[in-house]
Amino acid sequence: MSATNTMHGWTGTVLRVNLTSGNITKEPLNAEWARDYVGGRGLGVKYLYEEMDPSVDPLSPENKMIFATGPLTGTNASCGSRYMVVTKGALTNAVTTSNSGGFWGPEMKFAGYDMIILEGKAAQPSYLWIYDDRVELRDATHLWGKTVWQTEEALRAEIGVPDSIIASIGPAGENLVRFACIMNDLHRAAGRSGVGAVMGSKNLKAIALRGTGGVSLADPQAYMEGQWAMKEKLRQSPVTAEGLPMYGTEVLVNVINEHGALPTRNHQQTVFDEAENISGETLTETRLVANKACFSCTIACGRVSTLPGEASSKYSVTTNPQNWKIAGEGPEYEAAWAMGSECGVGDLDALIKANWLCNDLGMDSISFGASVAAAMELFEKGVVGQNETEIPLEFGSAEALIAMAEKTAYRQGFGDALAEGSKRMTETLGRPEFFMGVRGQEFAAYEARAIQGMGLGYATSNRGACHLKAYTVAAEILGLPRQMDPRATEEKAEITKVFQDATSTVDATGLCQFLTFGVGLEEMLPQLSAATGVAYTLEELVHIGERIWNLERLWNERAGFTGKDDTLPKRILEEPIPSGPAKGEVNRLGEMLPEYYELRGWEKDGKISEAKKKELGLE
Amino acid sequence: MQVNIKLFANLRKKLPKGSMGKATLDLTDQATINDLIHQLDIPLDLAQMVLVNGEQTREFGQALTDGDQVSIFPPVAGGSE
Repeated sequence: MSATNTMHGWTGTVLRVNLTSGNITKEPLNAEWARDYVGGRGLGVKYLYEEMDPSVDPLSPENKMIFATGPLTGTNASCGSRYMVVTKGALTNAVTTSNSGGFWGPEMKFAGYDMIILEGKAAQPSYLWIYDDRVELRDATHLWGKTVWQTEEALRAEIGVPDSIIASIGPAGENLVRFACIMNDLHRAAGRSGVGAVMGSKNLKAIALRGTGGVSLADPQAYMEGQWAMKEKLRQSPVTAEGLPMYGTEVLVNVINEHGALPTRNHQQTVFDEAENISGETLTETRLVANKACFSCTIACGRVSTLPGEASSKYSVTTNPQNWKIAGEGPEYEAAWAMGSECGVGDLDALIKANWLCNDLGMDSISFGASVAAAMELFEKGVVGQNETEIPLEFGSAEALIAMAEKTAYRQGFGDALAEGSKRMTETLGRPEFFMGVRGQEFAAYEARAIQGMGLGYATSNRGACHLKAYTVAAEILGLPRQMDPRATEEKAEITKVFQDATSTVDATGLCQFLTFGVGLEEMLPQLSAATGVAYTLEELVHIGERIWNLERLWNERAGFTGKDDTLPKRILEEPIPSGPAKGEVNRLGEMLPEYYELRGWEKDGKISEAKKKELGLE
Repeated sequence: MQVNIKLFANLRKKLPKGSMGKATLDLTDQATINDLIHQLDIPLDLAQMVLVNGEQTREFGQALTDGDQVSIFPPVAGGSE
């Protein structure tokens, strides 16, 4: 552990690695920033904002990458497993904050670091090996080209430390697929916006960790009281105690479909006839081995799934064939939607296989599936034909979906077009209207025409279309904490802002967002204060969330984004849903956005006002 | 009258195995959503989302009509990276 550590919750040490020079330094964490931005997403964005010109090319050595934990990462707080990857997104050119669980974030804390800041670009493929305060940048030429599963196996054997924890990129990251992700613990993903491509552009294959320290707590007794109180509430919540452990996120397929809000065939429809086939209920009954938890998690929403018997060899794959006959994780709801209904594929086995492929190749299953869906519409409308795609990219084709996973990761044939993401792909092919997303990033699994607040959330999300920045689905569909009418625009500006700010704070603590289905910031507060020794108030935590949200927005302003980017595709704004429970609906963004800007205290054109910057201490 | 019901997640155990959560139920005329939930032996706090013909409602005193499609979900959530 660092000799400079006088902090609690935080380790107090930042590890900085310049990949160009090979220079490795340790520096004290900026305590003032830590107090004001907490950690994880907040602190990562603060460092990125202070240190980097937002206008740089995301795939250039000038882009920095920050792996950031929060003060509760690595504690025994329920779901204290999270780390954030903060960088300029390869897919979006906007700031991105990609979140992952598993065991990697806690191990980074145990090794003694709050954050790892990566700069520059290594001359040859490299990996970082961190064993407590011993940090080495090593050659990874022999690992380049390996899939995620192969990399973890080979790297762990080479290091000789069996309980080392590894985050790595697969071939997709190496080949700068714009939605490549970073995988840790084989199955957990810092998934969105192309953080894996940024890592690939730096010639960094992996970061392997082993830490033997712990997390110091300022007031252990108060901390323990706080964490027991939160665990008790989670135990009483039907969602965190029963719904999520039993069915995982996949349970939403039927929920969202029954509401007529399951985007289907590149958002041409919003009801999928084969939803039951790919639902959480079907997964649970036919393919589930067990549920699985991340570090310190009391929910265990993870799915371990298998393809038994003939299902294991139904679709041919060329990478790691031995893995496909046992078990892997997923698919989660978002993946099952993107590769399922959005592509018109109703074959659960195909989704399980495609999901494992995405994980092993290191690709975001959401953007991959949604990009294939856009390509399928291009194919359907005759914009591209089999001459270009080789494989018929017909809606519903499980074979095409699976084949394109490998072709995309390796940029083979039409996979090279898909690897650019659906915005660039559709623009290049002259049909930008088939891109379903915001700021270059594909939508998540909720139709914004049927769930009005999600439209506002997508349009204003700092990292591009995303469900994880303001999950208004909770209120608009799931009735948590109270039921709101999904078709109404009233109160949506307010709830979107409230959710955005609160989520920013949760993402800064090192805790998992799924806690919010059972508890709120008020239950997290006692643990955060007792762990860090900073006497936060609930008002301060909300204020911190607002500060983080605005700083991300300010970063994006400096990268060239304006209020004009707070919009949705023409299909969502103008083409009524053709059938189903939400028939006739469009998203009425224009009714919500001005009110949202006003609530935010921004200018009418969406620019952050000087008064707001001053209030939040941003300038 | 008859209504078509769809139950989801762990509410499916309220129906015979193999029914995939689907059934057609005979109800007395003027039966309400509350009556249906009671007939299915679903605890009220587990009827988190009730949709009648695709529209979610919390008006459980609402009378059903012949041929209605009713979907019932327990409290669930999701949405991950």
